[in-house]
Amino acid sequence: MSSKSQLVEQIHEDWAEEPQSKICLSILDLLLKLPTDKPSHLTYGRLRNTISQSYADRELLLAVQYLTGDRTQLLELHYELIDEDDIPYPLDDDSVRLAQETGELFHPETGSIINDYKDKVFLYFTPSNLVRNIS
Amino acid sequence: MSVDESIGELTLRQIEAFDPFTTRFITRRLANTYDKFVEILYEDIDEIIQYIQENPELRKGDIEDRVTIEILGNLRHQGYDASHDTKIGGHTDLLVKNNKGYKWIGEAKIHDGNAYLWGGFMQLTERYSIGDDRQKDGGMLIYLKISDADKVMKNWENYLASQNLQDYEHHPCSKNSLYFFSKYKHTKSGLIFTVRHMIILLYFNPQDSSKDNPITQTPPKGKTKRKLSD
Repeated sequence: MSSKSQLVEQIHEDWAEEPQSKICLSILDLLLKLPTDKPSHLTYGRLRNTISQSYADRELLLAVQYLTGDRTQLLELHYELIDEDDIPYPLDDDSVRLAQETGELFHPETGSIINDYKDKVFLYFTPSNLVRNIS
Repeated sequence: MSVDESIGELTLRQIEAFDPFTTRFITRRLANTYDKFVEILYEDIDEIIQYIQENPELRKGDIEDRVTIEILGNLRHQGYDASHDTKIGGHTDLLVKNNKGYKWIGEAKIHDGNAYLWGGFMQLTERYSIGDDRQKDGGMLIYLKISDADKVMKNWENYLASQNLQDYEHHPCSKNSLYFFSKYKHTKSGLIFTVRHMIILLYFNPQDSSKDNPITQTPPKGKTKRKLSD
């Protein structure tokens, strides 16, 4: 179990005065405020709204990459296919891995090939189990 | 892309096209075998080494730990669980772990002859590593402050080949012609242990007379011109 102060210290140690320190702390605050009794679906846009608009996408992406990585493991990365019908279909890691290796993604329900799948697969995040155990 | 043009939601296409440091974000998270984990790690380390090599003049006085810690910091930024001086049979220079229990250990040495590198190689392979399926690879990070890296690496490759390691073989690295891989039968596990030998070019001795070159600038009258140094 990690305490919030330990995580804050680690973030400062890793990023020092770089913008990612403040971005990571804003996201950590968001995660700790989320209800624990229902799943949270954090899109990139939601994370962007959490932080100051003065930060560039590159700065946010680096922070998200860090929070999703093995060092902190605070965010879990997921994928969803949003095709012309605008309905989101969750994709598991194996489907995305296979698509990245072969260049072809199959629709999880119809089985048809998705053209230009990289433009239709969106990333989203959920708080990891570690977040629930932050004291 | 400016802040005003920030992206709304994030697709695979957008993240892959964004920046060298985020391009491999997805591949890194999808790595589900040890070999894939190490393959991506080497791509990330190569990128960091390229960055470090850009300014050797700033690193002339650096000791081993300082360069290693710079590599470590960049790996952490990419999300790696990387640490320095972690105790595993001894104090490792660079340990990278992931949530599947995979481990990669790097041994860093400022080049000071083959015997010195051999000491580091033996620490890496026989002291720190177990050599089982979850840590079957490691790396030598050789910081070079003298010239002719190609000659240094060929000498080191020949030296290593003459050490009678069991089932030893080596082959070039397709990503960098100065690097090579060695393989031999690990004493503890009895399995083949692979080491990637990487050289970081920190030699700085410019021959130009540009104003950016503190070495070749004409000294003020009455002062002795500095000697060209290694």
